[in-house]
Amino acid sequence: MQIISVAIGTQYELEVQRLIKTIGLPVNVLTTKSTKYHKINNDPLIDGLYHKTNFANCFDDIDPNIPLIFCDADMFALKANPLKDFNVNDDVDFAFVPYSGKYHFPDQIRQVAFDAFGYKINSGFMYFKNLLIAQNICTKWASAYLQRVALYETASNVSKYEYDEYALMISLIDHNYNIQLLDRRWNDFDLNTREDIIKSDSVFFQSHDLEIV
Amino acid sequence: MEILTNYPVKDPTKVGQRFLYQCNEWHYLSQPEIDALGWPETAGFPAPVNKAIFGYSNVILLNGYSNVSFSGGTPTINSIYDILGLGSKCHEIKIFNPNSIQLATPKNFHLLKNLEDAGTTLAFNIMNTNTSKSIIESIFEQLPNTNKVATIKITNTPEANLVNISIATSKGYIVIL
Repeated sequence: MQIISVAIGTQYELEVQRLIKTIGLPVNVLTTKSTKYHKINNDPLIDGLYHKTNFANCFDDIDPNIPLIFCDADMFALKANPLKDFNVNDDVDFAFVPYSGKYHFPDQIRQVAFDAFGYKINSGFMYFKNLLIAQNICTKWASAYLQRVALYETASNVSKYEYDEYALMISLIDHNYNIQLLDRRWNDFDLNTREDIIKSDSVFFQSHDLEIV
Repeated sequence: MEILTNYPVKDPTKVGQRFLYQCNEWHYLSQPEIDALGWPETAGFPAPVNKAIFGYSNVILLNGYSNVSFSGGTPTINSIYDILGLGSKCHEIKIFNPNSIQLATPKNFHLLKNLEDAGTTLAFNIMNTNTSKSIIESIFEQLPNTNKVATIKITNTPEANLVNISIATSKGYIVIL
């Protein structure tokens, strides 16, 4: 398993150090110092999210035949060796934790994307069977993300604060991947109080509270 | 000082005057005071003199005259459910209340003109509360139109499947059942 993260900006670079320490395995991190980092937007949030959406195309040293796990930089675990029990079915191409709930949107494109899946994708923790699948997904994802970015100034109900996940879903409306939904324990993204996190049996959490600088 | 027994209403002729309502001191705001708060209101809008902040520095929530059921609040049955709050951005208004509590009479949600998500942090979360269909729809009706990305989560409220979602989606909100 190869662990990948993206940390664009000083605070995400600090956060990813926490991820590396808690995962206990090598983590390949894309930063602004990476050779394949190319700034595409002056807004650090947009720039960072773009590189997340395109992460699989931004590394030179990924083994193409070993599965990848992408982790958001602000993830952390409280258990030693947190990935030791992680597995997916052999035929799975792409796996992630879904959000719960049925979403109703003010616009068609996101409604179509949601209805195609039946859930919203959480992109904080994702499994890819191999680099080629990750690259194919990321190429479409990054393209869709930039199309969303182009709408920020002109369209209602579209802004950088939707982050990257709707772009991922829009890009995969017609996908043919074999998807496996992961249990919430692999990214318990809703938990945000110290008390809730400590008493949880989940493996990974996210801090969410960064100010982007 | 005048004592009001009914919920105060806007009166532009009383700008600057103070009164008591449910043991708290209120005043009728002037237009500059309202503008300074960034509220979409006009002169004479009534508001408590002392506003409470419930853990969210960019949200001003009314406290005291009734028991509002936000995080840290102490809910009582049939609370007036009042929001006086804005800011440059208003991420994550969460309402917590035990299922035994029935909230009633939402007020002033039209002031929430800056509700906006931040990734997985939703603008407005009332999941796991006992909030009724009629209260949720009243909140939807009061909320202003938005062109932002603002999500309202009503999951696991007792009548969620009966709520007219289109009231909110037609104003630009995302609603999660």
